[in-house]
Amino acid sequence: MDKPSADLLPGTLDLLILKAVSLGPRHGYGVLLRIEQISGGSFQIEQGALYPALFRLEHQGLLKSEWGISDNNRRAKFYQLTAAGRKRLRVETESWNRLTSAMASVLNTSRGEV
Amino acid sequence: MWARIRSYWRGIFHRSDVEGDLAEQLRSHLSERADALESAGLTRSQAERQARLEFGALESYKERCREARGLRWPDELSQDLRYAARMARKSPGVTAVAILSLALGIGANTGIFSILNSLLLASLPVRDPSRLVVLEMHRGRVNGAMSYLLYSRLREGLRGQVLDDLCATSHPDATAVTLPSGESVKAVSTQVSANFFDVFGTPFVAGRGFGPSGDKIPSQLQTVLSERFWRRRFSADPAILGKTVLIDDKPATVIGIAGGKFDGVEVGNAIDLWTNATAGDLKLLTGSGWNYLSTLGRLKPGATISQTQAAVNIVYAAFREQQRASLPNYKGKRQMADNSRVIVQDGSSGISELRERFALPLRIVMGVVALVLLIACANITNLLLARAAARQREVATRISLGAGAERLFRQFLTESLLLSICGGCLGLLVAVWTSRHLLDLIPQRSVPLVLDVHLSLRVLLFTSAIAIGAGLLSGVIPAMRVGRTQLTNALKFSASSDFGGARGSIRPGKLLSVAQVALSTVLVFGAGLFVRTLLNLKNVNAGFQPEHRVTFELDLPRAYSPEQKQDEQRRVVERLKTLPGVTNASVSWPGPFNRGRFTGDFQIPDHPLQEEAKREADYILVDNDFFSVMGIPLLAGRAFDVRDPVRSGKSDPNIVNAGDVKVAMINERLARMYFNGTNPVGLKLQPFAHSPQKVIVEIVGVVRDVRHYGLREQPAPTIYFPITEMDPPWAPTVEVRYSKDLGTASKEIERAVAQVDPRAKALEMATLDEQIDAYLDKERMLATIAGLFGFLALLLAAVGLYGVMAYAVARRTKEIGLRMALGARRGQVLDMILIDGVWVALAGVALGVPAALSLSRFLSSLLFDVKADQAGSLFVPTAIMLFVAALAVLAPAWRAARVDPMVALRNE
Repeated sequence: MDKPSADLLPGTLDLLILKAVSLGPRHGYGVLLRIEQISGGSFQIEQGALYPALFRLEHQGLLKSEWGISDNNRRAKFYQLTAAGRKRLRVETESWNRLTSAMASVLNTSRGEV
Repeated sequence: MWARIRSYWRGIFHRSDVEGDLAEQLRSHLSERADALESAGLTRSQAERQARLEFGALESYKERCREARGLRWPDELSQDLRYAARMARKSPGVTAVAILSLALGIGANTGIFSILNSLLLASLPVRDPSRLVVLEMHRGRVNGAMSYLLYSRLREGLRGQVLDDLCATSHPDATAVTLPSGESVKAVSTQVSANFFDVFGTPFVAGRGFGPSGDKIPSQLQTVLSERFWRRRFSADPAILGKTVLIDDKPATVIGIAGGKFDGVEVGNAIDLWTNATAGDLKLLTGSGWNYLSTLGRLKPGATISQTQAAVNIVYAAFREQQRASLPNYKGKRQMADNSRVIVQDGSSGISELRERFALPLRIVMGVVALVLLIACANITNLLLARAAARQREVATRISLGAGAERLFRQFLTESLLLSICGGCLGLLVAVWTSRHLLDLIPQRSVPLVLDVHLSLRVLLFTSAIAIGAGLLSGVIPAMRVGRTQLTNALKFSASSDFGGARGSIRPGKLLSVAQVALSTVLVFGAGLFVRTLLNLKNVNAGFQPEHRVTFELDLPRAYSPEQKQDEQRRVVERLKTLPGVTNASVSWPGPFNRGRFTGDFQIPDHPLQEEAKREADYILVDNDFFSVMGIPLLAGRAFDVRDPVRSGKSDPNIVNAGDVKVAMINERLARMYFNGTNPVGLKLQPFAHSPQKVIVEIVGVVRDVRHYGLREQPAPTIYFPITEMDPPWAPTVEVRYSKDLGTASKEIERAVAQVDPRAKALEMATLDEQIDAYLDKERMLATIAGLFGFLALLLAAVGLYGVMAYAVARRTKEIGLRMALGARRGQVLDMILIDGVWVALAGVALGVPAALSLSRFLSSLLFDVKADQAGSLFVPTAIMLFVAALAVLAPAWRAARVDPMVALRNE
């Protein structure tokens, strides 16, 4: 996690967490590993910052959690998406895609196309 | 949404679970990370240390987690509350006084609001009350009831047009009901139209209402019981249906029990039984002069009050035209009929005679207690200001440690809210007491006053609103000042050593004191007006002697013929005169203070009158001894006596058989108005000027003016007729002058009446003194309450002024010490502080007097023989106010004069 990596845009952490959790229930540390894994290590998240985000998403009813046993045989809290969470992820993904494609087309515009 | 509420719930009520959960999750994270690092080759202790480093600021993240769950707000609130409670405990005496004064203020407000609510605001417990309207007859001064004839005409004209239906009810009456068991109980009853219960959609516990047979006149009297009466008197026995009870000796069949908490439409009266009006007296149903019904209608969906008013105007105009056509021609007729109108009003809260009498007084009382609460709030503000000043250094320290202005604002507001909410809770007790005792100030009549003043949801909402309002109001100024605290100044000067800051921080306290004095001046001024009104009315010369006179209504069975009634009333009076301890007795109709009134017009033959509209006079029927029993002096001529001709012909069922009247007496006022100083004795008078028969009477005597219908009213021109020659249409009043103790006299009177005729009853027995008291109920209520709260306001303002001045002296101790060290004498110091305080009081009075004067305009209808702008009305409250203010300032001034310069200057 000490690789050089992109700064997170504000608000993207929530989306990353939702995505990570959508691939199957995860505990806090597991969420971190999953994000690192699927992003190929390009995002750096301060470990502690994860938890306020998890609490906030749960408070908003997008995540639900229950205690379970981790792979290392430790008691850990597992998070998964609620129906509202799935819906939010879909909506956010769409708007993110719209934004990035719009940004991409703007940034890729060459002189001749104007 | 639900997730959030669940989350708050867990956060607030399962706080330790949440905390444990948080800690364990983070622990679990750190272990997982350490596991990973350990497997990468670190030792366990290195791995754990590394894991913690990578995690970041653990406690700060914990705090952010709590925040993310929305727990910061309740956390801070509980902190503030604990802090506020600690501050309150630190000075228990001051806190107790603050809470107590708020409790009095809030309690009085709640108590009076609960009465106001049930009298003016609460809707009737009926189906869709918002669509109810009241139709009221207005004719000059006398308002309200209408005749059955007019009611039927209005119903015909409006039903199906703008109204679903229109129903009618008579005034509640105290009656004696004989149960099937033979037991006789007192009950309140009214007569209603057949459709009455249908209009209100009253549910029936058993049986049915009078409808829907229509308003055809059934020969048989029927009655519907209220559920409460049924439960109390018949133990909720359904077998009563179909049985017969006697209502004032008339048999009536019980046909239903009305449920749904419905006990009539007249607020303040609980009806026990309703009877069908149509089975009553034919005379009442067909005569146009018998105005005894209140009418309520239900608007058709979509119809409005103004549409209804327009429709009513058309129907009433036609009715009036018809009535006029049926009268013989005479000149005054036009004016007579034209000032009458039928007015449509919102009827959702029913009708109430009480409301008319007490709406304005209660509103004024509400205003009075609101002002008292304001004064109490000002004291709380002063207290908090003083506390805030004493805590300047603490506040500065907290600001320098990072507390925001908003956070401090909230904290100080929490303190005042805690006080006001405690005051509010205590105030509910005060409220229950207030409303109960306030109702006691209204004398009970024969129909008992029943007013539901329990703490309903609306009242509780009101209490919370004013408690919170009072807290915000009294807390906002101190809280704002704290928020503005200048860090450098506060830390630089210690609280006891500053000279410059002291005067600055005392200014808002003084301004509040000025406001308090101003408000109390208003209240003391108002109290003075009401007290003097009461005293003036008590001292009014009524024209008769009230002492040792008792009156009652002689109730005779309606089945008696007029001759029988005449005979009975004569025998009763004769019998009473023989009682030991009774000096004399007489009979009259309408009796003194009677609520019914009999007026008519008259002409003076061979004496054309200038102004026709003024030829109205009160008609009163009296017997030979009436004037001597009442102690009304005869000014000229003679009273009625045996020489007067006794009626020859037999009477017909009309109310007034005027053809037989031969003689009359008049009062001083009529003599002065129409006979211009000539002695009217022996002259002729033509009463009943509009009657088809021409009645000419001879004036045999003139008596002194009497305020027959109440102390407020100037005596009207009055004509007295011999009661033996006209039949009173309802129970006449018997006046008895007794010489011994009333308790035994009233028993003997009742017994004597029963001996003369077992079916006759002496109702509403009361001494004239008692009746005058009852007449003054409104005035007494206002004088008592305004006096009480005026005194309370005075006290609170004095406490406030004392507090401000005492605080000022404490802050200026050093300065005073210095002055004395430089040669100021004690007297000078005393004067300095006294003058300081008296200026505050003077400023308050100067503001209060004009305010009181402009407010007093709203009181004029309640005052009697008092002018708000008379010198006396202004001087006395001002003097009282200044005197009390001087007393309040004296103690701090005295303390200032006793300052020992040595001690004051050494004291750091």
